[in-house]
Amino acid sequence: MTAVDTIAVASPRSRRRRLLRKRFLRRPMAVAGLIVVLGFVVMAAAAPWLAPYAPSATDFNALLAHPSSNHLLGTDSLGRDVLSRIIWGARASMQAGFFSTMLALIVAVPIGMIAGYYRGWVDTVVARITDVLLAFPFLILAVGFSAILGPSLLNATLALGIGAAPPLIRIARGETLALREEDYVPAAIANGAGDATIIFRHILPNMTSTLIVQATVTIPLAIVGEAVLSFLGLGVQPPTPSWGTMLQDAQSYLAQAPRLAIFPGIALVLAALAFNVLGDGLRDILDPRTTR
Amino acid sequence: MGGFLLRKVGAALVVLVAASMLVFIGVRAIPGDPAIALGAESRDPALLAQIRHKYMLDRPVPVQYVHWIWLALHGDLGSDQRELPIAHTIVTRIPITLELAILSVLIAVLTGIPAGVIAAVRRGKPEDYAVTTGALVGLSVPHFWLGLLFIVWFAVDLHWLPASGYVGLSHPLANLEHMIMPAIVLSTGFSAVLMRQMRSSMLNSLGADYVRTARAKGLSEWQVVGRHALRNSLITITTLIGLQLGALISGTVITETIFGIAGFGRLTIEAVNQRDYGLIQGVVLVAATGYVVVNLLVDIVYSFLNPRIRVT
Repeated sequence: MTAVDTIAVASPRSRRRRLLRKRFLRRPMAVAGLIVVLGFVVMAAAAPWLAPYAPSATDFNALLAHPSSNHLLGTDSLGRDVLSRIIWGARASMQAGFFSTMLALIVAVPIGMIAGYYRGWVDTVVARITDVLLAFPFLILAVGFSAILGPSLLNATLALGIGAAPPLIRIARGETLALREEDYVPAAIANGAGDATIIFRHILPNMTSTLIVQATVTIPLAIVGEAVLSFLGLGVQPPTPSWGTMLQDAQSYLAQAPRLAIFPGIALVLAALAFNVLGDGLRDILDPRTTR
Repeated sequence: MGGFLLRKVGAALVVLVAASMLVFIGVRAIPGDPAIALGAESRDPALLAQIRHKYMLDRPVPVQYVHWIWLALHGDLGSDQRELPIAHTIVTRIPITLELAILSVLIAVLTGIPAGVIAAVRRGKPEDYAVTTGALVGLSVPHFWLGLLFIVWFAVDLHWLPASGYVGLSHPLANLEHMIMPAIVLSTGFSAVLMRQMRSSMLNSLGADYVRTARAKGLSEWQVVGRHALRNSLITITTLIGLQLGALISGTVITETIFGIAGFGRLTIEAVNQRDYGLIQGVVLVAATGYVVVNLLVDIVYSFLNPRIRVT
């Protein structure tokens, strides 16, 4: 009797969640992606405890040193430990990746939803502005904004967030256009729900899976974007470690110490790849065509 | 058809005008006084006033904008900090970047399309896994890192190719030597996207009724794939080229910086680094115009390939 009760009590939502977890665990690539992503997040959060040296500590007895037991990945031209700088550099990357994507979502989703929900002139104005912003390639937009804001990690994050917003506005708008035609919208109106309730209680929850997938696609773009901006001198400023600034430094020593260009790049590719693989997996399991 | 063209061109013009305003306002939002930058950091009020007057900085912003656009329409983008005509600088830099872009699109098409077709035809076989994995790696490896690796391998270690610089087309062999590495680096992202798209649209086409019909009437597998499935998949690819153009423009900025090619992309970074406002304005305006125009062309080509689009 009690067993029957528990089954009856299990909500469709928790059942769906369990189903999704099962689908996810059946995809080894996606699970591996998630593990690597979590690894980088831990690395960024626990950098002071994980890094064997301080990121800016110089060892003038070991300039451009080869990898050894003292310096697992060697040292750079100022004798700084490469491994420690990569671990600290994860902070800049994760910060830029997560915060700029969050910023892009916070800016884009309400604008896109309002345009898609109210349609009419609001939609026309939003669509035109998005068209204009999309006339600038993502990176050019980010370079432009960081030129306006000045070079720093915070400004690079802002610039990447604003740069990533236009495509998200389009997606949120498109989803809202489709979802507002669903039967539960008139049902909610009949129950006396206002526009805000319909948008935030009924439409937004139904597009979360799309947004999650988009976010996992945007994060690696932002991570690489941060590295590129820092590489071009428009992002993180030395001596703060970032994979982009490390690669910029490495450019002067390609003949003597090519490993300086290789290790930070591997970290960057691994992070981007992990997010992309995770995003692919999430898209597979969250795609409504396969879930329902 | 005429109405469709007119609407498309009209929309592109609106986007262009708004983009030019955005550039103009954006450049004015850059902190720092442009007059001081133009006057070689001089603080002499008389000199600054003279510079402000010369560059119309003492006039209201809308007046400045109209003046700028008016001259721009006549091919005059003003002069940069070194008093060189901006339009001329841009015109000399563009062919270099165009060559790089065309070469890289060529490489991407020649690798991406066949690889995507092979992956679709041999679905689930090792070839398919090789292509899909390759595409994933291609998407995740950033241009600028791949560029550094190429320099380390092919220029520093093997001495096969020069690490940087540019030689004009009048020396075709030397030109190719300098351009091949940057072009390959720039092509990787696009090639990966093409592979993925080609694979999925070929899989769609291969499952379509007309392919079954083609097989049923006894055509060889080669004819079925090449003449029927591939031709229909190519339509999707046209749009992709338009969509990837933005990535291509961003890519040239980075690739040219790494390989020391004095093209349009590096001009952008130089302009930003030198805080040369006039130059930034001109470069971004030209880039946005090129982007909008190519997207318009893609739209038009697409409507020819797929007549259903014209109706909507």
